[in-house]
Amino acid sequence: MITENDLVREAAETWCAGSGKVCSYYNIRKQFLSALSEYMNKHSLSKEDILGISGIGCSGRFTTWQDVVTVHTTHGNAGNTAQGAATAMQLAKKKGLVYVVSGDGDALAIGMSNFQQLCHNNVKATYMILNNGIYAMTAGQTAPTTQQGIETVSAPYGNLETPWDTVSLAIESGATFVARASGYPKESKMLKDILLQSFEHNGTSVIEIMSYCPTQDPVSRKRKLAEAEKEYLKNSVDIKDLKSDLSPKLKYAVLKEELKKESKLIKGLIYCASEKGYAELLLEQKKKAQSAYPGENLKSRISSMLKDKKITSI
Amino acid sequence: MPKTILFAGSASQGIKTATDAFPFVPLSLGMHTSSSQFYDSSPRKGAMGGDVVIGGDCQNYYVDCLVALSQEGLEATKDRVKEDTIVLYDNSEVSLEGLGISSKKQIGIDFKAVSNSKFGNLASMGATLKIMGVKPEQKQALEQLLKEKADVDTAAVMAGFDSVAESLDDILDFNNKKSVSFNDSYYLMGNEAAVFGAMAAGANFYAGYPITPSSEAMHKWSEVSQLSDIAGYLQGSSEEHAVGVMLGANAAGAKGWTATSGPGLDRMIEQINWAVTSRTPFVIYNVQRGGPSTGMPTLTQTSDLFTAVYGGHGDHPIFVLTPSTPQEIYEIMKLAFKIAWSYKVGVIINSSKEVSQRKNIVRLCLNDFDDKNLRMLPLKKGHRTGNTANDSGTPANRAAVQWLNDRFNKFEEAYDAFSIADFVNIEAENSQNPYAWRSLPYNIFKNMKFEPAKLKSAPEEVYICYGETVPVVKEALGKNGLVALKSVYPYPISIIQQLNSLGTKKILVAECNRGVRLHSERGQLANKVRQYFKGEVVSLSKWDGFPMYPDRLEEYKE
Repeated sequence: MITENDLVREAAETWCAGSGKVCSYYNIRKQFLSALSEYMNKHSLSKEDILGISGIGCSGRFTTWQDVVTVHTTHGNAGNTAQGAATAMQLAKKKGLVYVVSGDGDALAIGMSNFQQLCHNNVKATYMILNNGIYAMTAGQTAPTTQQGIETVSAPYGNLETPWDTVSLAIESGATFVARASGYPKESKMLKDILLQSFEHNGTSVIEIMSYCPTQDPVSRKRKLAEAEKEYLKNSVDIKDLKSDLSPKLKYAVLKEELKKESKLIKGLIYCASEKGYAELLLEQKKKAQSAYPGENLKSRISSMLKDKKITSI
Repeated sequence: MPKTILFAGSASQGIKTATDAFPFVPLSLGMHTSSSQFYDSSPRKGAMGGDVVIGGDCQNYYVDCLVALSQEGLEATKDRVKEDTIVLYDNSEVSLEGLGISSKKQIGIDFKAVSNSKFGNLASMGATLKIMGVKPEQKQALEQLLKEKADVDTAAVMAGFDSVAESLDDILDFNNKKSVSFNDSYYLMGNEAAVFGAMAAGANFYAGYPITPSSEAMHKWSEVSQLSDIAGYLQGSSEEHAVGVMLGANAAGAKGWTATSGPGLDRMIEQINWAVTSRTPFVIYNVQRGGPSTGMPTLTQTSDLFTAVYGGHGDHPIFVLTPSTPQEIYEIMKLAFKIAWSYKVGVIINSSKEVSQRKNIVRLCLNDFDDKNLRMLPLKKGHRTGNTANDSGTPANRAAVQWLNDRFNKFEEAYDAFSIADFVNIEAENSQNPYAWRSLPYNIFKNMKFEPAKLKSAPEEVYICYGETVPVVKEALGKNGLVALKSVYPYPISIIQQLNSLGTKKILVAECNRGVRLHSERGQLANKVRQYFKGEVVSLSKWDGFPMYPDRLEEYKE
């Protein structure tokens, strides 16, 4: 029986915390560990079966405190590292879980292509994007998710770009489980439920987790966690509460545009589909390849392939 | 001296087919044969040619027989003709007039007409076989051989054979059959040999991005890996993406590798650096190419030495190995995996187009191909692969840095002593003989200790070479000494220092690159040799994208 505490690796905290201004990553970590321990117990997994991969920035520190096998990658390379790990594990039919913790800058700016490639291959991994709308660790520069018009240290007269929609991007890239949750305390249960479902999902899961940064809050440096939470709850709506006859992909695309006028964000489990991923397809294709060069084992198959390259004397 | 036969023509004329099929005749007669092609970077355009070398691993500049199938092919190669070169040309396509060709043996045949074919390549191959010594009474045996070995229209070859009156050489007389037999040997391209070396070493994952002149490695792995029940493969979306996928697989317990070429290696550098400092093992098979960017994709260079050794921010140790023949690629791939996973380090293999796209005899040990060797390695509880540069400052990461330091200290001793070389005309103890590797059981490296070779005597003039220049210098060596480096980094400092005390007066470093500055620091490795050798250091270098030729070696001296 593994508890949340068993999964904690002792190390000094680097995330911010002050009076009423607490980084929402703490709660995300708590819900994550709770979900992970539950999942591990359900499937009798040990710590060696869990591979945690993180990127850069404050979210990159996530794996520092986790006592599983962890990989802290370079800038923007969490997606491809996870893709390799997940592909190799699936090919070897190894039980376990690959999870990624990435920030909005890590996933959607410097690592955009790698993130999309992972989704595109739909290998079994859970990709969490902790979105606080700003580059927090590096002093508050504009992030790919910063709202238009927000003033930042790198856009002193206001951000000119519109923020990327992580959910649309993930769906279009090929992820088969896409959700939006938040790290706010009142939505803890929702976050944990979504995480648990994503761990069970056989494909790439992307969860955008809306977060609050107490130090570089792009909305107002004076805002406290409770205010940010209140605002978020007011301005977001669970997809379950939205009625539509459209297919899940279209439903999100259409309703997103409609709700934009009211500045509302759609949350919840937005898209879930069952499709074979790259690793499964690769394993299936082996049969085809092996029928071209028959043999009872690898040696005999290679030998059959090399037949016409063999040097023989006259 | 090896014989060089050059097929020259244009893209889409079947030069590749002829160059690939021809060597099976000398090979079947027990003659060591290799072939190398040059081609334009635009598909289906430009001059191209294929050198077939009988009796060697590198071609001479001046050829023994030139087979010209198009005017542009001839013009691109006419300088390689000397007085006694046999020039065989398609007289419906090619005119020798006004080209200043000195050859006294010129034979013009309409190959397309004699073979009643759209292409003259196979007929020209048949004619060349006869000119090089196959007798009319051996025709039947020849036809039988080509049917078995080469997937070509043998009728066209035979029509070409009949179109020539007599033999002008006797090298391919079937009565001269050598007693040598190539057991377990295959005629493979260097890039293909890399794949078999990797698989023999237990590699079970590959992620890469296609790039000339390494792409055949990817093509072959995508085919061979699917014959295994376990091995994985992925074509990434870029070198950055691919190397990350490979390292991710390795972090999860796979034994992954990638193949790339100069510009691709540049794009992988950030993660190479990360992987070494985070102790994630990897093998990168890099077929060097002159840059920048597109640079010289279809030509040859050994200009990535500095990139492989110094690429990355911050200090990081790495191994750089340098094969000089396809056989050595196969052996060195096996060694690379052993080093990478024994020491938890990164190994870069710096090959080059002239070695990697050369087809040559490769002896394989088929017993090495076993799915049991391809299983994933178990992960250790609490294992961390950290981004130390990013983490420095927090207590947890100070511990990580300490952990790295401890590991590096243990490893440094072996690292300093590491140098693998072949010696010619130099008496040495403890030298590693790469050709002995294949006959040894795979786990011979398990407790491998690298001890620097102890040199006992050396001539006054010694060549130091690595990669593609090794066979070239071997051909023209005479009584001089040769240090043929199989590992170029860690630098062979111990060898150079020993040469200092053995009376060697001059070291000549042959490499296909320019070095830092044209004059004072010419040659990338020569620079390092100058730093440690007390006598004269002469750089033999060349950076036009064409290989060095043994018959012109003197010209490359600075």
